[in-house]
Amino acid sequence: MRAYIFLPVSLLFALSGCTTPDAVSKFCGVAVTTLSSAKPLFEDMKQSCLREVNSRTSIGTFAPPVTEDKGCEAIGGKSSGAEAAVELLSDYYGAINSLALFGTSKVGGEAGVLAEKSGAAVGVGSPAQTALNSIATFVVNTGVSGYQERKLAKDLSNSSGDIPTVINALIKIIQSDYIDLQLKSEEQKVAIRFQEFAAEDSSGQVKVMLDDRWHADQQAIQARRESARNLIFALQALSKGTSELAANANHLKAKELPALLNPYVTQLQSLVPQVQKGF
Amino acid sequence: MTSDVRKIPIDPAAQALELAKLFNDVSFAIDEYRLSEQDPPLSKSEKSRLKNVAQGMEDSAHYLTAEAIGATLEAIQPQLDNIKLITIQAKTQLEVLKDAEKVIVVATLALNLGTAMAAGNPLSIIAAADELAETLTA
Repeated sequence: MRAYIFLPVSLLFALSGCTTPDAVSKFCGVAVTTLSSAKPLFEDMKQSCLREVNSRTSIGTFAPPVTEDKGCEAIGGKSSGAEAAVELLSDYYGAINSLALFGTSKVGGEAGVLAEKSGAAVGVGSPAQTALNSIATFVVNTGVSGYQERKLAKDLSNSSGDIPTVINALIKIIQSDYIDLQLKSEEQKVAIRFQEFAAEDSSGQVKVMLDDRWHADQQAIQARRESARNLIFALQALSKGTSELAANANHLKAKELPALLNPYVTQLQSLVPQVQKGF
Repeated sequence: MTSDVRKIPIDPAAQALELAKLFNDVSFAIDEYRLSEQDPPLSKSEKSRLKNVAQGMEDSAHYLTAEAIGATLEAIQPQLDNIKLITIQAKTQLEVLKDAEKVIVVATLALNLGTAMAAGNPLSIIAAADELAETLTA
C-alpha cells in the first residue's frame, strides 16, 4: 500500500521537475518590457513629422508650433496600427508568461508529500488510508503540471511562424519608414531651416549660435536613430529566441531551457535601456 | 494561341516607400537649390514659390510614408489574427489551470484534515477542519 502512495508522489516530483518553466517566464517577462520600450518610437513617427512641418517656420517668427497636420495625422494613424501590433505581441508574451508562472507544481507537490505523511500516520490497510490514497492519486492524476506543459508547448509551436513575421514587419517599419525616411527627412529639413536663416543674416555671432542650436537638434535626432537601431537589435533577438523556444518546446527539459533562453534574456535586458535613451 | 502573361509581384509597401523617398529627395533638392547662390540670383517670389513646391512634395512624402506603414501592416493581418487567437487560448488555459488549482487546494486541505485526525490532535483537527470549511465557503 505504501508503494501505491509512493508511485504517484514520485511521478508528481518527476513531472514538476520538468515543467518548471522559469526560463520561459523570464524570457516572456523581458519580451513584454522590450515591447513596451517600442511604443514611444512608434509615437515619435507622427512627432517627427510634426517637427519637420514646424521646421518650415522661419527662425524668429515666434509662432506657436503646429500640432496638427493632415500628412502627420496620416502617419500617426498608421503608426498607431504598429503600436496595436506591439500591444498584441505584448499581450501574447504576457499570457504565455502567466501560463508559465502558474504555480501548479508547488500545490501538487505539497499535496503529494502530505499524502505520504498521512498514509504513514493512519496505518496500513485502514479505510482512512484508502481514502487518503485516493485523494493523493486524484491530485496527481489531475495532471495540472502536465496540462500546463503541453499547453505551453502547443501555444509556442502554434505561433512559431507568426511571431517572427510580425516582428520582421515591425523592424521593416522602424528601419525603412522611420530611420531611413522620416528621421532622415526631419534631419534634412531642420538643417535647411538653419541654412535659410544663416543665408539672410551673415553675422558671425548669429551663425555660431545657430550652429550650436543645430548641433543640439541634430544630436537629438541621432539619439532617436541610435535608440531605433537598438530596438531593431532587441526585436531581432526576441524573434530568434522565440523561434528557438518554439522549435525546442516539445523536447527540451527544464534544465536545458535556461541555457537556450538566458543569452537572449541578457541581451534584451542590456538593450532595453539603450532603446529608452532616445525617447 | 497561348497568352504569355507574366505575373509581376507587387509590393505596395515597397512601392509607397520608394515614392516617398523620391518625393523627399526632390523636396530636399529644391530647398538646396533655392538656398544656393544662383546667377542671376533668385527673386524673393521665386524663392517663396520654390519653398512652397518643396513643402508640397514633403506633404506628399508624408502621405506615402503613411501608405507604406499601412501596407506593411496589412500584409501581416493574418499573422496578427492568429497571435490574437493563440493569446485568447492561453488565457482560457490559464482559467482552466486556476479552476484545477482550486480543486487541488481543497483536496490538499482534506489530506491535511486526514493527517490531523490520524494523529489524534484535537487542536490540529479543528484548525484543519476550519481551514477546509473556509476554503469551501470562500
